[in-house]
Amino acid sequence: MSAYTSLETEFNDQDCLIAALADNEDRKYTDIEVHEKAVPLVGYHGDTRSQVANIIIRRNTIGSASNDIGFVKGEDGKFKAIISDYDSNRHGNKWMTAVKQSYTEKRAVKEMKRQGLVFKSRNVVNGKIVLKYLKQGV
Amino acid sequence: MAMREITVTIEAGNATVETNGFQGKGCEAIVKGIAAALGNAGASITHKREFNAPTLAANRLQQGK
Repeated sequence: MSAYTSLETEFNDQDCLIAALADNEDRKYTDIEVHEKAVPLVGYHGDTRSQVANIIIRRNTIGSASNDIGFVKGEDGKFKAIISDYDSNRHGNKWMTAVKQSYTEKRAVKEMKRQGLVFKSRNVVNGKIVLKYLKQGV
Repeated sequence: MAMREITVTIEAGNATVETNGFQGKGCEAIVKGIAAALGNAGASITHKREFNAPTLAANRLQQGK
């Protein structure tokens, strides 16, 4: 049985996190379960684990020997990632950085729309995402 | 009314917000809003003000005349 490790993140916008899991430069997952009340994760033997999560990528969408990957919402509104030792090989820093990159763009766009800014352009320059927005007469 | 440009550059999940050639309360409100959203999201924010160098140079040239 592969032990789970809990990893604190600063993600606090559920919609942006789900969108980033589905759309990033590393591993993409579109088949994601969302639970208002956290439910248990399942290990690769089909065993119910003690760890619970609100956002779950089920093991069958990850790999045949994988365990579920989850994100559980804390009292501070931030999500903790719960990833097994086995799956952390393919879902380690590289994957988390790709998710964070995508999440940050989506969260920035959401905020700029909320502020009424007008989209001008989006470019990727040497791996950096450059977003330009316009504001009338500040 | 003039359109002001705001640039957000994101690298490895960290964002930099730049305002080009404008400042004031309106600008501060925009940058603070973005910083709060991204700061809470774990992105480190650096607020840079980059003034429009060509315009400043042009102004100096005009003043020199």
